[in-house]
Amino acid sequence: MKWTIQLGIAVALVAFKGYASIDLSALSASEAGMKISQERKLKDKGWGSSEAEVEMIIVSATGEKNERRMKMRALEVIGDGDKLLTLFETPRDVKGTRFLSYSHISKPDQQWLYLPSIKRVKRIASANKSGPFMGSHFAYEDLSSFEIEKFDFKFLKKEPLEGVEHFVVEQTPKDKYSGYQRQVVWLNTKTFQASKKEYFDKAGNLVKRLTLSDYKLYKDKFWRPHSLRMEQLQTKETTLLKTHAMSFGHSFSEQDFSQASFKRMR
Amino acid sequence: MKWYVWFFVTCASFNSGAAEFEQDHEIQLDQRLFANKPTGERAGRPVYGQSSVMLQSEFSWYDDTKTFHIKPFFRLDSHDDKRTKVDFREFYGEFYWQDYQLGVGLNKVFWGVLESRHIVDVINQVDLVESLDEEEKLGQPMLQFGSVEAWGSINIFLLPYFRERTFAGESGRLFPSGIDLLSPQYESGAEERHWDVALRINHYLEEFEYAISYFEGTNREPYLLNDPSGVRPYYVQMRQTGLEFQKAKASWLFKMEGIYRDDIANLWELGAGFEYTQVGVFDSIYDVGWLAEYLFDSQASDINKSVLFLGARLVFNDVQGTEVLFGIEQSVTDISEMNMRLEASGRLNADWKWAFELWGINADHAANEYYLIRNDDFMSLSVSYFF
Repeated sequence: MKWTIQLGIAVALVAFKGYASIDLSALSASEAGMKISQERKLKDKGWGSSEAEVEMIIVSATGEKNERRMKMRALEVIGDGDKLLTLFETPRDVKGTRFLSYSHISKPDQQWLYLPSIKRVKRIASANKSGPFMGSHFAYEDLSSFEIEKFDFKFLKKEPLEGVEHFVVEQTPKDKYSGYQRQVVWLNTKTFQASKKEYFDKAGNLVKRLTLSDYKLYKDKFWRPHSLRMEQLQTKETTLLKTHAMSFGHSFSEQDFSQASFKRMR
Repeated sequence: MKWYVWFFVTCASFNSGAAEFEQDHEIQLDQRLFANKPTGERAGRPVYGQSSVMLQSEFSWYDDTKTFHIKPFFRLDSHDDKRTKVDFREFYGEFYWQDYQLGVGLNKVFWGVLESRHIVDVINQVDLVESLDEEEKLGQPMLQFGSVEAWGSINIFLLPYFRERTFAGESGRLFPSGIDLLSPQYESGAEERHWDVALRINHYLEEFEYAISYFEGTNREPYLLNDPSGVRPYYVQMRQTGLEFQKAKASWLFKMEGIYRDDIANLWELGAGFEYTQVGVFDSIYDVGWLAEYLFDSQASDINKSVLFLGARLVFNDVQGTEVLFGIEQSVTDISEMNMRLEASGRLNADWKWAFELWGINADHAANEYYLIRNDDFMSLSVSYFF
């Protein structure tokens, strides 16, 4: 009983703070969706650079597990999309392979792959974003940075998720090469971080559900989920993306994320 | 100073206390099966089957400002004494400071954008014993300096030692029997100790990528001279200028690379084509990449002068990473002259991998560069364990 009251107060407080930070009155659904998304982006501005040790566990419908380990480095680019560098550590046959992507807000993304066995840097076609990342249930586009300019928004409703108030926003990708017709995202009204995301394919069917949890706060400002669970709803397969170590404030430069030097990443 | 002296200076400068160390190994069993008996009989040549075991290791030490790699390679073959060998694929140190990089030792460098042939790629000698696709290379002794500038990245190479092209042995396949390969001859009096130099500048502007390269020194590709006692590889001095261009547009990659080479003759070689990727073809998670490349070589025989390559790459996007690449290289001047290859690979589990390769050669005319290995159509299946 006591617990329920405390939770109730907590929810009320969260909801109150949510209201305080953003006023959605007198806005149309798309204006409200845009306003929430802008606030989401603004709250995360200034994180600079990060590095994370990530484990990916792909679970088949029969429960068979496949693991991959990788290191991910990200660089915030003010005024444009972020740069992301991934170094694969396992499976062993692809160890040392690196993937570099530049996300852009107003032009096609750029992607390169470095193949260490033949020391070749290979450009990847920019439309190749809806395909699976490393045989997992994450598409390349699911892992790219969130940019306002890439979507049209629509505020759907406010609803509690596990007792915490959330904004439910529909986002429609503008890029015709996206594999999705739309995505619906549940954003915590206080932190503006996503707790859940649903993906609808081009035919409008709900195909995947992402649950984001184990959020940790960095530099007193930036929330990062340390557990991402993507469910493929038709096949009942899942991919877990677990972050084991994350750090901010690296002295990475634009050059470290250049096509000429990303092969050195360690 | 000899290159290996540089190398030991590099090693000595390494403070091993602060560095990370990693080692990885691959052991591979490989079985080749040939469709036909070899052209010409010679005792000891494999008739249908050829087996081998390969071990490749990689040791690396690194910290924030330098890395150091040793990659020994060892293969034991059932028949071919040239395929049984020990080599260092890599044995180098690299230093980084600001936007600069200095490398010293045996290393590999890749230039170019095409899939079917590597026209501008010139630094390393190819290892034809390992593979016909020219993607297996011998480690090249080098001193390399790289710099990343706002206008592009520049790489300068000093190459103090030359390594001969490897060919399969007379006791193996994929080399014509009845031909004795004699010791090489060099145009330069310095022979394999001639210092070669090379330079490449590359840059990208949004969807465009381009590179210009220059090489001066010993041609990696020998002229094969007929001698009363056999065939003698003759390595001449050359100057080569190369250009590469690539454009990424939605699902397309447009590619072009070419060289102008000046040695005892003048030649130019050009390749241009595209790769079109279909993501999630037929409502599946498969990707298909369609490849088409046109290749022109001014010095080749009429049959090989003008060639069309058509291929398809099927990516399964499964947890095993299964991929299949199929390609046909077809002479434009003579429709019957062609070769085809199929490469497929995937994982069995986290530590095991399989690979399959199939080569079919249709060369009826003696002028076709594949004529001498016309009866060597083969398939190979290999299984690798990583530890």
